[in-house]
Amino acid sequence: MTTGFAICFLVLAAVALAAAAKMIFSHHPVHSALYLVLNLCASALIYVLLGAPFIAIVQVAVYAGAIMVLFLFIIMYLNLGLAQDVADARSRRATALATAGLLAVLLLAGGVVRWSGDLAGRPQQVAAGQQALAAGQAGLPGAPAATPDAQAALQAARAAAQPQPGQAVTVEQIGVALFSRYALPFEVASLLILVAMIGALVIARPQLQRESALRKEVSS
Amino acid sequence: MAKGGTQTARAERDWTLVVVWIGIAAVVLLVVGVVLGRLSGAVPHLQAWWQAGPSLTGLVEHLLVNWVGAWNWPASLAWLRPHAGWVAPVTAVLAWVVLIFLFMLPMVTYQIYALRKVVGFMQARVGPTQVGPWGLLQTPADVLKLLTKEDVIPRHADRIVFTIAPFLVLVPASMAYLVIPFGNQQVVDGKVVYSLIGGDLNVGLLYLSAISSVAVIGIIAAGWASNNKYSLLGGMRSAAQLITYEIPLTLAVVPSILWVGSLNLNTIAQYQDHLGNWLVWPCFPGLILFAISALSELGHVPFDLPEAESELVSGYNVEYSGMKFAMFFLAEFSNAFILSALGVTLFLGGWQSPFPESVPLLGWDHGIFAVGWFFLKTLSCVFFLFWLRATLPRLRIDQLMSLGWKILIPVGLLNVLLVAVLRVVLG
Repeated sequence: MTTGFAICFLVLAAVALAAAAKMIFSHHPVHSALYLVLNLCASALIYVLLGAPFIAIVQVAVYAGAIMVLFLFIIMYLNLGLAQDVADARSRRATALATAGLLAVLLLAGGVVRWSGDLAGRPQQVAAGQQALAAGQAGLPGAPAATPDAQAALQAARAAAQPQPGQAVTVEQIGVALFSRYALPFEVASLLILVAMIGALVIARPQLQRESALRKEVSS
Repeated sequence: MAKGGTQTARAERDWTLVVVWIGIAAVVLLVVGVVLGRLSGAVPHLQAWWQAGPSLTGLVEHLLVNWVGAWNWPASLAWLRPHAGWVAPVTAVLAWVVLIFLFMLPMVTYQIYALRKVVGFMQARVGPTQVGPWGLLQTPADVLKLLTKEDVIPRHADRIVFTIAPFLVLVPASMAYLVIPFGNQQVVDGKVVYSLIGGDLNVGLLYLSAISSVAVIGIIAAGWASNNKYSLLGGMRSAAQLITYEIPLTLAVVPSILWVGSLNLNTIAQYQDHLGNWLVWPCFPGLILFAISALSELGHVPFDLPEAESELVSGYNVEYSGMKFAMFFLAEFSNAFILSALGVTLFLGGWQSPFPESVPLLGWDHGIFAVGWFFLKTLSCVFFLFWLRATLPRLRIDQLMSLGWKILIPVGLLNVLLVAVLRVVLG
């Protein structure tokens, strides 16, 4: 079982990495976009392996199905070609390197902080749960009633320390989490998208008015 | 020959295309089907079945049990037994993949035959009559002709993208069969006796919408790679139409999810266990919306702008010939079946019989009877599509866009709200 899992993961990871590399080194923007689609699909399948089918499917629907379609649409609409692209890339090399370097540092830093935080945090949770349980078992003043709670706390802490592999996260769990614990970030994100949408409309508006004026002129 | 601007391909290359298509779809289906199957809990049963080792699930099981007899473990395969956790679902999904391809090709071939006959009848013509009795061999002959045709790639086309674009359209179309409930699942004492669903995914409906949104990439890529302005414009037109109508299609599906409280297509079909429980009643506007958006997603009349033969030079597929052209066609007709099946599952009771269980024969809906009801309903929906095709005039592109954005999407949102309120009020 674990061997099968490892093989699947390694193959998918190799495909994702190769696609990412090809995306960067392809000369034509359309090829890059198609490689990015392949990369997104491979990472979606990795999410499936990790027991997050919902995230996997949302990844395909939103990124591959919606955002990449828009990318391709724009690339083809503007007919972005090869030659101009290469010239542009040379002049922007320094900026691109600096941005990529900054992004890499940030991602690594984020990963390290998160990882060390996990290492530090979870044993503490377990220890707290064990203390609570010990307190309950020792029959300290007022403790007997708390025993089931303490046991539950210990179990919850253990569950937090060791997420069950191979256990799918259901859509219900994600929905409940989004609308209770993460309700504020969720709403903030939707507000951000609304602002972006209004901004796009405001920018496109003068163009629209000019066009309708032109149409009136033509018809009269 | 290559200097002539085209390249002649031997017929073998077309068969290679078919093999590659089946291969890609099989690999993706394996990863999705096996892993999600494991996660959604179907696998312990499968594992038990594999360790006991009598037969395959679903239809294959029936075939094996009835035709081949009880299958005993050959000694050479005994080493696989400890790995049943992986081997069992892999076998089941592979069996399903084989079934899908055995089903899809004849289904599409005779769907085209039925289309020509039905539309011919409605327009006071006779349709195909010459090849075989009643012209029954006309469409198989057409398919064989397409397979042996020269495979032309335009000189300035982007060869790689030109070749993979048909796969990007056809692979998603064939992957959709994984989650369609063709019939019921017989469970005795927690063991699945047989199952007429390929992958009983908890996110089945989302899976379908994600899969169908990937096909748009194939259409845009096909239009662009041909390096022909009519192809490119056709690709853009199709993509704009598909993106526009994907939104009302999704909104039309939401009421059914709200009512049943599940994204699992099997659960939704099981919920509609008698006529009164069919989701048409609470979600009727949803069905209308679904039908309109599905027509547009399929590029059927009155939304057949992607290939308006009488006024535009077809669409993204003008430069395609031979097997690659056939692959786009195959995907289109297969999608007609899939969307009809989805509509039946979401609104018209799925594989359930409309008669009460007590009515003999007509009231039965398990095993082969469930499959019968499912096909009866789905093929009626497909017939409805043909009917519209023979009747309605075509919309103009601006009418199509304003119908989608200004009417269907607001109505869809309103419908979701209405059904949510109704659900809360009725408990």
